[in-house]
Parts: sequence; structure tokens; C-alpha cells
Amino acid sequence: MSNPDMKLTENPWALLELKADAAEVIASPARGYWGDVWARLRARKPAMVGLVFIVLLILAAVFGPMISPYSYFEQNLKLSNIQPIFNPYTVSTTDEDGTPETAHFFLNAGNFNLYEVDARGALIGLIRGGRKDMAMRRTTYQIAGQAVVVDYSQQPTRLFVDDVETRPGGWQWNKTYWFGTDQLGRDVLVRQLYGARISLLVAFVATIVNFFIGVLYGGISGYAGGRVDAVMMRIVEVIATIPLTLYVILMMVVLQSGLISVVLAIGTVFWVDMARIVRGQILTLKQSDYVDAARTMGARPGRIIVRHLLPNAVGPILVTLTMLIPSAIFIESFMSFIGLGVTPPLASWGTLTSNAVETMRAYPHQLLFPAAAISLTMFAFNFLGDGLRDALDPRLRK
Amino acid sequence: MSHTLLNVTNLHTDFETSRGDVKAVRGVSLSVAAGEILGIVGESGSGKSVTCMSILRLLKRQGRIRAGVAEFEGRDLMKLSERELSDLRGNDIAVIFQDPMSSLNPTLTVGEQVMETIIRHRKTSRAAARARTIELFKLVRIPAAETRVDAYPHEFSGGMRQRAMIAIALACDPKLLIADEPTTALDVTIQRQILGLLKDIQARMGMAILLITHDLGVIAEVCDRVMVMYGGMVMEQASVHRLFEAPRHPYTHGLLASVPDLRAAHRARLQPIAGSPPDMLRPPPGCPFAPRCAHARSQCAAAVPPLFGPDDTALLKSGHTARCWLLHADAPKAEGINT
Repeated sequence: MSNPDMKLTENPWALLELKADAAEVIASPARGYWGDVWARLRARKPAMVGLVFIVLLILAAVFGPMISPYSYFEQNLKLSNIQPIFNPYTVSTTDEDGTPETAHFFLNAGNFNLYEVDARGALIGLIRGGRKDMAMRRTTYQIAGQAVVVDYSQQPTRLFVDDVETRPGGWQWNKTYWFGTDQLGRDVLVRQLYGARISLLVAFVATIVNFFIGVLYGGISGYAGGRVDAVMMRIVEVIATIPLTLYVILMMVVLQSGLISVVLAIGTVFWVDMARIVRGQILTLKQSDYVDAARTMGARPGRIIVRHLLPNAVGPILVTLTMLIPSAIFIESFMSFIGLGVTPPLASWGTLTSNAVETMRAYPHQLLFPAAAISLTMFAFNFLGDGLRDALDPRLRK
Repeated sequence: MSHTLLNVTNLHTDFETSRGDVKAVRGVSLSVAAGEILGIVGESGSGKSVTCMSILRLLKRQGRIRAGVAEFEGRDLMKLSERELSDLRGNDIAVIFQDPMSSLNPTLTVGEQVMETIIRHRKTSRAAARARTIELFKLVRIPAAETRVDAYPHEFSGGMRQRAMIAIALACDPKLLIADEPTTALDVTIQRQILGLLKDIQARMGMAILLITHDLGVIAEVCDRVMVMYGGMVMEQASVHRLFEAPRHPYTHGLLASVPDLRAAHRARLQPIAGSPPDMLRPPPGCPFAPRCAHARSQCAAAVPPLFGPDDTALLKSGHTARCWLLHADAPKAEGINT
């Protein structure tokens, strides 16, 4: 008994009590299907970034306009075309009483106006009372007791304080209008948040039609098969071949508002891709034994489609959905960009970009923000869709 | 003998293909009495599964029932509307499929799939259906039934899934259970458990079972009566004892000879049936087994033999029928067949 491994336990040869079906007991508590999917999705950074972006976008679109002190239609022509970031000058003097007087202001290089700001960067207002000398191409202001001359006779515009050329003090964020203002002095940020609402409305409509028309249409077509399938798919092809722009224009003839036309056009035609995908899925899934089993148990076709087939196609459906939503958002933006979308003063990302393009040289920020919103949203949905496709693929299950 | 539950007469089923009709079932007649276990045995493609699926009218798209009557409790299943039929399926006639791996929907809990059938046919509340499901799980000996009800199919082993399939089939106390090779996809120890379970449940609930298999061992173990199919036809039909003791058809002989016997003499060779089943696209005009039959005569190739019964020859006892020309009164003697 030198080997310690050979040591026996107490009463080693007593009969072991047999438990019936011990082999059939599940060893580990299994994680559900969706738990698995979530774990795999979480491991994918781009998808998670996209998901977080989408959630933030939704929160901003819902609550942003409520919090904002501005509205999307209120104009303030005195404060038009303000940049989100500016470089203010500081002028200070001491008046007769001995109290120091300081003024901060910045020059809007687009319209040669001076705007007063406070030390933190909050906008106070347009500085008026400048004497314009058209011949000399200069405007003279009296600020804090000093003569400030804006000389725009040559580029870049120069600024003289008491005939001394002055340099600005350093970049500062606009604390009043975070994204600046547009050519009518409306807050770009709040208009963009309203634009996000429109984009999300379009996304929502696209989701609804995809789910209720696309999925059911494709499901019925695939399940019925044969002649029904052939007819239904030819209808889909007819709808798919007519350009969306044409639909929108046709609907604008009947309906007044541009937004309703765009939403209706997307609603009537946007489910065709989904219908095709779902049909393909159902065609393969309906060969499954569990469908036969359900039929032998007396389940009716409607129940088989809804309970047995569609849940098994949920992966491709979700992926298609996340890919179709950004394209719906993009189509709305595009329609608005070419002037078929929302009517002013309502703003969508498309109208914001199209307005900004006119003043792109002078005020590039007006283009930057809506364009960035469109592209980032596209990215976010596509990343999420990509991640979902991988996460839902059962072959990657570990 | 109790009353006849299912009576199928002269069933013909074809499959339409681009090359023509595949004649899968050619004039099958069978009857199942209440509480009886009838086995259907045959090679792959002999038409045994198609026969059963035809009875329930659950053929794939290309399947066509050309002729035949299938009376279930006096109602011809071939003439029922789709709605009446779907009320019957799962309720009076239930099916257990071959592959429990793919016969359960992976996205629904197993309990949900049992409850679905109960609610569909019995119109009970969910709570009652759930209680019944747990009861059924206990009946088919699924351990920890209360928790297993909420498990998904992938959490079940093969044997457990087949038990769940049986639970689904038993959900509404069917009068007839069609078991289409219920044990083929399972390993041997689980096979025995499932067969034992089926037999046990049959004894307790008294339903009739139509058991399709290609395994003669299974037949010997559980069936009362056997039907041997080949080439879409019934070749021989008898009680289990008769069939194993005095098979009258050369094909049945072949089947019995090709079963491995562990107790047989050392190095005894298996005797497979030479050749392969006929092409059902163009079935031979005579006996479908004739091309492979060691006893074949020219009559066999010329015409399909009729089904001989006890009235035709003394070789067949009551309830024993066989489709072979050698049973004809004028036929020459063949060793083991008609001697």
C-alpha cells in the first residue's frame, strides 16, 4: 500500500444505490436561445457601438426637443448663421468712473457681422450701430469706448481696434447654440433632433410594414407555394420595379404634405425585400419535420406559419430589418434633399443638408451636422445588422 | 376480436415527377382492429410510410392518391374536408415520426408543443393543458416532468425527445397511433426503452398502433399482426407467430434470413437478398419481387400474383394471406415455401 492513489474509502464494496434515469439528468443549466444571442452580440464591439448609438439617438429624438429652449420654427434673423465654434476678440477699457469695461465679441466671417458674447461663450447678441463704408469696404463699431473696424476689403477679413490690427483670443464653443444656427437664425441642434424624429418615424413605419405586410405576405406566399406563390411573387416584382421617386411624386399629386407622401410611399413598397427573404426562408423551413409533425397533430396553416415557421426565420428577418431601416431613413433624407420630402419649417436631415449645401462654403458646419447624423445612423444600423447576423448564426454557437 | 377501427381498401398513391409517375403504393388493403398492434415491415421504398401518410392525406406536394378508400370508424378519410381532417389528426389519429431530432420545433418549449395539441383539440384552458402535459410527461417517464415542461428541445437527449413526441401523440387519447419507425434514429438501449414504453402505454390506454419498421426484431417484440410490403404491395400478412413460424412468401423468407442472429453457429454468414428493389417509375408487370426471387417462374414475371388466402390453399391458416404464385394449386413444389 505504498501508492496513495490506491487508498480505499470507508466501506468501499457496499452496493451502490441505483437511481433510475440518472443518465438523463441534464448536467448544466442551459442558457436560452436569446441568452446565447445576446452574449455573442455583446462580444462584437462594432455592433454594440451601433446599438448604443441607436439607443442614444432614440432618447435624444424623444426627449431632446422637450428639453431644448428653442423650437424648430422660431426664427431670430439677428442671430442667423452663427457657428458652433468661434474665436472671440476681447476689448477692454476703463471709463471715467474707473470701472473696467470688457467686451467679448466675435466676427462672423460669412456675413462680416460682430456678435457679442460673454466670457463663457454664451451669445449676448448682434452688435448694431456700425457705420458701413461701402467704398472702403469696412464697417466701424463703437465697442467699450473704442473704435472697432472690420475691414473686409481683402481676404481674410481683418479687425482693427483703435487702428491696431487685433488677433482673436482663442477658440471657444458656442454655449447658446451648440450646433450653431441656420440662415434664419433657428437652432440647428433642435432642428436636427426634429429631423431625427422624422427619420425614426420613417424607420418605425418601415419596421411596421416589414413586419405586418412583408413577413406575413412572404410567409403566406412561401407556405402556400405553387400557383399562389407565383402570383404573389409577380405582384412583388411589379411593385419592386417602379422607382420610389415616381411613387412619391404620384402621391404628392393626391396628398398635400410631403412627409405623408414619403411615409406612405415607403409604407406601400418597402416590404417587398422582406417578403422575398421571408418567402425563401419559409420555402426551406416548411420541409422541416416539425412542420409535418404539427400538421399531423391537426394544426391549421395560420398557426403553423405564425407559431412554427416565422419564429424559426427570426434571424434572417431581424438582419433584413436592421439593413432595411437605414435604407428607409436614407430614402427619406434623399427625397427631402431633392425637395420631395418634408415641408418647411419642419426639418428632416435631408432638408437640412440640402439647405446647407447652398451655403456650404461660408458655413460648412450647417452641412456637417446633418450629414454626420445620416452617415453615423447608417453605420450604426449596418454594424448592428452585421453583428446580429453573426450572433444569430447557430453555427457559431460554442 | 374487437371491431375494426381502420379499414383501407385498394389504396393507390403516385408521386408525380418530371420523368413520370412513381407508383409508390399499388392497391394496398389493410385493416386495424381497435386495440391491436399491426406492424408493417419492408425495405426502404417499399411504400410503407407512404401508405400511412396517404391514410392521413399528409403527402408531400407531388403525392397523389389515385384511388382507394380509408374508412376510420365508418368515415372515409379520403372524402373528408381538410378542416374535418385536421380536427381528426392529433385527436383520433396521432403520428410519431422517425426522427425526434427534427420533429420538434426548436423555438418552442417542449411543453408548449404538447399543450398546443391539447388546446387545439380539447379547447381547455392553458392551466389545464399544462397539468395534462405534466401528467403525460410522467406517463412517458420523462424525469422531473414539472421542470422539463419548460425546456427547449435542444436541452433534451434523443430518447427524451422521442418520449416527448410520444407525449404529443398521446395528448388527446388517440384511438389509432401511427408510429413511423419510432426507434430507427435511436441507439439500441434507448430503442428497447421506447418500445417497452409504447407497449406499456398501449396496454394501459388500449389504443391501436400501426407500427412501421424495417426491423423484424421490433415486430417480433411488440406486434400482434404483421404485414410485409414490397414494391408498393402487400406481400404477406399474418399474425406474428404465423409469420415467424411459417412464412409463405419468398420475400419474407429472405427478410428473416437476413436478420443477424447472435446465437447462430460461429462464422455463419448473413444471407442478404440479392439485387435491389424495382424502379417504381416503371414497375415490372409481374410480381415485383420476381427479379430477385430464387424461386421465380415465368408466370411470376408475367402477371402480378393475387393475394392468396386460407380459402385458396391449405398452406395458409386463418388470417394469413400471401401474394405468391407458388401458392397456386398447380404450382410446383419449392423447398421451404409451399412444402
